[in-house]
Parts: sequence; structure tokens; C-alpha cells
Amino acid sequence: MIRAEQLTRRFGALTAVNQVSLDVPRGSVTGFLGPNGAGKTTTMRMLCGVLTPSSGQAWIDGIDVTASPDLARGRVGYLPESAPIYPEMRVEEYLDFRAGLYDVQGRAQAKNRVLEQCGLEQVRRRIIGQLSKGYRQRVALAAALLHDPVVLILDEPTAGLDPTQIDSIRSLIHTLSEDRAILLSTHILPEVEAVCDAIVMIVGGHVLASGTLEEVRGDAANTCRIETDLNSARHQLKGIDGIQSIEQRSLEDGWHEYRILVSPGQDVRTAVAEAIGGAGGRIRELHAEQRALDEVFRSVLTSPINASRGAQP
Amino acid sequence: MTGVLTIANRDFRALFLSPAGYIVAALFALISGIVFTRQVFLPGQPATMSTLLDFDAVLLLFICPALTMRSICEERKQGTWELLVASPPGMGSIVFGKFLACFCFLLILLILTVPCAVLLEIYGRPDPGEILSGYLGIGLMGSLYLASGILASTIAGSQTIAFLLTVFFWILVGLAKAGASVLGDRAADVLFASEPYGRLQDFTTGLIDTANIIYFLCGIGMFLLIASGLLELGRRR
Repeated sequence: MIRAEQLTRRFGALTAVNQVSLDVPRGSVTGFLGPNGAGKTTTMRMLCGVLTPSSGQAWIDGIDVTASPDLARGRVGYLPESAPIYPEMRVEEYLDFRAGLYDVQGRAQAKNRVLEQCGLEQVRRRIIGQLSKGYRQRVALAAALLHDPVVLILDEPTAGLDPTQIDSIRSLIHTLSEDRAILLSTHILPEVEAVCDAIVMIVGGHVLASGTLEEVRGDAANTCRIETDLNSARHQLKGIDGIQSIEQRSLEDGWHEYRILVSPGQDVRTAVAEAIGGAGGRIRELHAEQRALDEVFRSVLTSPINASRGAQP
Repeated sequence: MTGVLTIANRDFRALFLSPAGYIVAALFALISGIVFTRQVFLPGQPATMSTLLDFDAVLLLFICPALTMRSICEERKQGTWELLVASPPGMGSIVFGKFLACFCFLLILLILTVPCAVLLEIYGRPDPGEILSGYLGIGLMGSLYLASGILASTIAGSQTIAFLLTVFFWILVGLAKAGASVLGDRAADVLFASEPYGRLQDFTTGLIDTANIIYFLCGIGMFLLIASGLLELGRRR
């Protein structure tokens, strides 16, 4: 539904986005990840028709963004970073304004629908400038949903919100994703794990990794954390198949913590328990951690080829 | 078209959401009233609006750029520009909508001076044709200021600069006539032809010349087209 091929954008000598390709099907939420200045916002602006690509193509719901920009823009709900909004308008006034821009039919119903979806019924008559940041963000999101777009492009939709607000936005995104394609950018990694099915990781304008969460995590090793009173467990653990490395740390109460790196796809928990038990040790904690996305992210960033790309201005 | 009207409607309301809109309108009415009672509405004076309208044209040189200076600058500063650009109406519609909003405000300003004309009509024998032609002229003149102001607002990085750019541009155009004697005949012809103040005088003295109307309409169209062209270019740059 959102498709980009070899999308490139240059600002003078600087190539902000370099041959980015992505594909977000209907019913899916794709997280767009990357450090600051990686080209996320520029890519999103191109997809929304705010910027024209220097080269490459993009389609929104099958419509070429450069060939028929007006038509494509009408299919996208766009929430720019920091949710800009006219502070002097009332919530309803603003929604009316946006409905006019998008020529929404059945304005009253559409307005009520988004007010309810975003939990804004209480503040519909309030002046936007007097609302809290969380409410303003929701007003901006409501405005993006007003024309019932098939594609949503959200630039950091939860930035600056408190945890409850973040939860409500996330569950809204989840509901919305059922019959839409959503691309959201963020640099909060747990957020990606909470709401996204797939990710595209971009650094220095290049796509470094993309795929479903499992695919991206897949190549990465998992860790396993053990707390035992056995001092020499390292010896027993070494013999287990699939363990790549072992780190040991003494805890204050005389117990020991081991962190082991396990090859992808392996589960060593029973083998670990047997080995330590066999040596007469006791275990009070044993648990396998799926490798967190931020670790994947960091390892992608610091791999030599990518590090040099990331260092580009 | 819906897009144009939606944008015009929002911008027009925005002019009244701050005290600035009311203050400008009130001061314009007040100053026009003072000029009218001190200079025009006197025994023995000719029953004509031209003195007042010529004076109001000078006021508009400062009011119109003040109306337009925020139109695009402020949207850019607030970040709302991006939302506007991401919505279906094209740059032409956005620019024209913004122009239309300011034009409606200009109409309100001019309507505020209509009571003067009515007083003149009651106590004197003015030529209604001359008055109407005067209003047409000042409306076109104001629109030209507005269109150039919108162009300035797209170029300038701040509202102040947009304002100054417009005001000084028109002052320079007015002064250029003075340089005409130094230049050759042909250059002088061009300078006289491109200058709006003499044309306004034609209107206020009751002379409706199609050349003048075309001059103003072309000027307005040109400024708005350049503005939307530059903004469209902004997507690519």
C-alpha cells in the first residue's frame, strides 16, 4: 500500500535519503527506525508529497506520488513531527478546516468519529493552544484520520506523551492498522516492539535492515541469564552446545550471575539447569532473553561498513 | 475550489482572532474619518472622495503588507505549512486562498469609509460614478499590494522582513519616476507604465481606463503566480 523504490533525495551536495525502498502492505504497521538525521522525516515527506524526490518512485495505494501528487496526498493521513497545529483555533474549528481541505463528505459524522477515536469529546470546544501536549498530539492525529485515509504516515506519534497517553495512542494505532497501512517513525525501540509488525532501519540515508521483527532479530544471538550459588559454573557451561560466550559477575549476597550468549535459534535452558544441578549447584533464576531490538540496532550501527555510513553528515 | 475557500475562510477568521485585525480596522476608520472631516467635508470644498481615497491608498501601503506578512511566514514558523502542503489543494489554491482572505479584509476596510461617501451624497452633489470608480481603483491598488505582500511572505524568512520588503518595494517604484528624467525616453516610458500611483489617480478622478484595469489584474496575477511557482519549487529544492 505504501511502496517506495530507490527513493533518493538530495539537498544540494548532501544526500539525505539514498535509494530507500520499502513496502508496507494493508493491515500492517511498519516502524521506521534510525538515529536523528538518518533521513526518516525526509523519506516520510516524500511519501506524503511534501517534497518531490530527486529520483526514485513512490506509490500510495497504487498512485504514483510524483505523477499525480494531488490524488496521492488525498489518500494519506500525515502526522508531522511535533504535531504542528494552529494554536488559536478551537478543536472542532480545526477539524472543520481540515475536512474542507480534504473535501470530506459527511463532515459531522467524520468529526464525531475521530473525536471519539482519539478521546477528544471532552475538549471539542476548547482552544487548541490551551490544551496539554498530549491532547494537542491527539488533535493532530484526529485531523490526520478525518478523511479516513487508507495510508497513515506518522512521524514520532508518541513523542512527548506520558505513559498512559502513549498506551492509548498505541492501542489506537493497533486498531487503525486492521484495514490500513501505517508507517511510523520513532527512536523509541520498545515502541517498535509494542506496535510494529515490521521495521525498516535507516542510517545516513541508507536502509540497513528491513523485514519483520522476527527476521531482523533472527540473525542475532540471544542471551540467557542465570543466578546460581555455584562459583565454578563457567566450567560446566563451557561444555554445552550453542553457547558462544560467558560473562560472570559476583553478586553481593555471595551468589553469582552468569550471562551467556546463545547462538540464534538455540534453547539451552534445560541443558544449563542440568549442568549446574549435576555439579551440585542451586539455581534461583534462569531465564532466556530474546535479544532486545536496541541491541540489534546497536550492532547494526557499529558494524564497520555501517558505522562509516552512519558517520556521514 | 473547496480548498481555496477553506483556506481563505481560515485565514480570514485568523485575522480577527487576535486584536490586531480589529485595531487595524478601527484605526483605518478613525484616520479616514479625520481626513474626511478636516480635508473633504468642508463648506466650499468640492464634493469628491478623491482626496480621501488618495490618502487611504497611502495608508493601505502600510496596512496591506501588515495583513499579508504573516500569511506564509507564520505557517512556516508554526510548522503548519507542512500540513497545508501535504493536503490535496495545490500551491496555486493555497496562495489564492490566502490572497482571498486578505482581500476580504481589504473590502471590510473600504466599506468602513462608505459612510463618508454617504454623508457627501446627503450634503453635497458628488458624482457617484467618480466615487465608484475611485473605489474600484483603490480596491485594485490594495489587491496589488496584497499580492506583492504574499510574494514577499513566501520569500522572506520573517514577518518583519516580509513587511519591509513590500513597503520599500512600492516606495522604490514610486521614487523610480523621479529618476526618469535622467534615463532615456524609452526607459522613462517603461517606468511610467509600470508605476501604479498615476493609474490610481485616473480612477479616483473618475476615469476608468481598461489599460489600467488590465495593468492591475496582470500585476496581481503575476505576483501570485510567482509566489506559487516559488513555493512549488520549494518542494523540489
